[in-house]
Amino acid sequence: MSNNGTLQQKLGRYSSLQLFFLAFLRMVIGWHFLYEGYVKLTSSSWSAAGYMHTAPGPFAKIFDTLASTPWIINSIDIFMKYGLTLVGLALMLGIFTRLASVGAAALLLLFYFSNPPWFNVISMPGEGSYLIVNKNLVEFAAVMVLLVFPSGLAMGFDRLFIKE
Amino acid sequence: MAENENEKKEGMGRRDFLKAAASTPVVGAFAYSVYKKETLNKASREEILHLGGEITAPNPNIQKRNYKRIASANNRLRIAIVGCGGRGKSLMHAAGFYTPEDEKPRGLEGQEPLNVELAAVCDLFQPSIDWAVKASGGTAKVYRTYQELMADKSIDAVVIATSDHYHAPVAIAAAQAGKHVYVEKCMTRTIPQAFALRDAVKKAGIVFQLGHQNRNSSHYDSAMEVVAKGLLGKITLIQCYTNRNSRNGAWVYDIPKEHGPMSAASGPRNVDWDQYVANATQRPYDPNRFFRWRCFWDYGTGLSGDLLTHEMDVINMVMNLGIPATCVASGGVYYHKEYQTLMTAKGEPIDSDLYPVPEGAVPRPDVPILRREVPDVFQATYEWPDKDLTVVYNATLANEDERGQIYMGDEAWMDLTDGVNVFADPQSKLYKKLIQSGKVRLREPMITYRDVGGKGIEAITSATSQWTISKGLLYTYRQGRMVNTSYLHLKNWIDHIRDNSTNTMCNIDDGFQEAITAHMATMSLVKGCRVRWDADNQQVTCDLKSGEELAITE
Repeated sequence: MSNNGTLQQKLGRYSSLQLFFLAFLRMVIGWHFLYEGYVKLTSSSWSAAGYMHTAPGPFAKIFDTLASTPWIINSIDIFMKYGLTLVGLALMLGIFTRLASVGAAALLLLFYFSNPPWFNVISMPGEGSYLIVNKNLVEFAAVMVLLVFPSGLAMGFDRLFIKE
Repeated sequence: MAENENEKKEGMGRRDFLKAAASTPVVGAFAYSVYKKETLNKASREEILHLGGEITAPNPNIQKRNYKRIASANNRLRIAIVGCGGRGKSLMHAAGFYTPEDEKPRGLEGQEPLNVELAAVCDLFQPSIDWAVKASGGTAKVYRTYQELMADKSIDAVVIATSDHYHAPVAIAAAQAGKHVYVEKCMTRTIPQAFALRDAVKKAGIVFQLGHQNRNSSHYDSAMEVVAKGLLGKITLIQCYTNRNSRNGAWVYDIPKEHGPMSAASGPRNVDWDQYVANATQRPYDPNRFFRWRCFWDYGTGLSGDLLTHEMDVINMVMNLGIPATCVASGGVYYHKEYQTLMTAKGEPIDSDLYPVPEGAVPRPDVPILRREVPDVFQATYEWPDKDLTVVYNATLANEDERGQIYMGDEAWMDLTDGVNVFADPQSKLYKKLIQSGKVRLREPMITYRDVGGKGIEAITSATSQWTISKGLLYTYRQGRMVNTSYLHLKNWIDHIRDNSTNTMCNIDDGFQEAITAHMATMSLVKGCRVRWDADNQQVTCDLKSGEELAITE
């Protein structure tokens, strides 16, 4: 019984350099999410409420209302802390990569829309100049690439799940 | 052949597992990096805090702030409101009383009920009386005069939110009747009233609270700790400000459509003008003087009693200063000189701040031109020579840029504008090593405390800590959002009533200090001299040109 057959089918068409950088992309995004999650988990009292109350743009009212309801904001905080951490860990290790990628993409879309660099939106000054495309959107695009390529198989634990 | 295949399989299996686990060292690198960063942060944190000294003289206000109710008694208290105008209504909202027409006060969900009954109301304006009765659920008794209210033995405590000139008379009457008192700032309108009220309250032994609810903001605990630990070094200058830029901010309030003195032959007759001026100079009815009382010395205390007191009360709490030794003040009416109250062509009142003014607006015939007496640009300088400390206050009602409250020490400075932020001084000796090593950056706060999302965040930041640009960290979420600070202040008062303790958050001694401090500035402005507090003789004096000191008795 050989695993390589299916793995070969999945990865055979890519060069080792391509697979290396695919894995690199995945691990780097994983590290980013894991650190974000870690910082929020270990902080004595981080809350998404501050960001949500001050989110500009067309969804400002929705975010503000959500952040004002105690049970909703508590759920969001727990979801954020553990979501970011688990997604980060999964991507870094290359395990349940598809699922983690979907999670990462969803979180990034949320961050993007909570502070969209659009024409009529006044976002806070930061490093860099952005119009429509900002780092959240770029990372979202990168995560989508992870989703459509066999990213968990390149130096990742998902390899172990490939059976004949 | 089979063996070979097996060997090959196993070989591939091991290689495969290695490839799969290739990401594990990355996790290891992550864990190690985080560990290094945390120890560096922690070291910086401890370094900064250890540079401060031990707290030798704990600020008594710290214990007062952390008061927890002792008694489990939760008997229903019968309170009365005297003066139920703008501020009075806010206080009643905070206590949980509101009419069906009012927007439900925010924060009620997070507030434990006070278990008080609004049992009586006294006010000089009929619509205010009507509101209070409605907010009480229809059961509040109406008293035309405060003297009659004080004679009602069933009232336990009184909340006083009248115009300043009635604070002292009503509070003294309440104390003499054995009723507990919550009175709004400024505690009194004059210096003699401050002495009289202090005596009355101490003699009666009632529970007294002065309405500086801002004391309840949680970030002052951090500020007091910073000061007590000596992290700022020697503080020689504190700056505080008030900036406003609207008619309402300048106390040019709206005047209702229907108004008129009770003694008039006809008309609305909803203002008890005679009682209003009984305590001041007799004058014919003037709606400006009744509804915009803060603009006049007869009834209000100007910028020093109204807004300076907010700043000085906080500074006094954080620094535990007492009454300053001297005061020099100046100011004038430089912007809001005259105001003509307007109405639409159809006779509907127009909001004082409405802009642009609707077409066809005409002056109201029932409201004379308002010519304010109290300054709209004002400054006061207080000094405590025994503490080598100066406080400078400056106010303008023609600009709304918030300038905050800044404590300047020789090692660092603290800004209380938006939470607590402490910055190292470029010439600091205490933090010199940290500045040189880059652990403390001069443009970034080295200690910061903010309320975010209703929960507190206490963080000691250093140059190596993560720099986030997100608005989330810069946003201040004062405690007042989900839980009203006025509610906390009322609760502090009521808890002390139930516990039979007089050491409230802002007790009569704090109130006396606040009143004298404010009036020193007013006297300096009005008399044009440097004013002194003579602690030995317990009097306020004026430095005359001749070098004499004249006692101020008004």
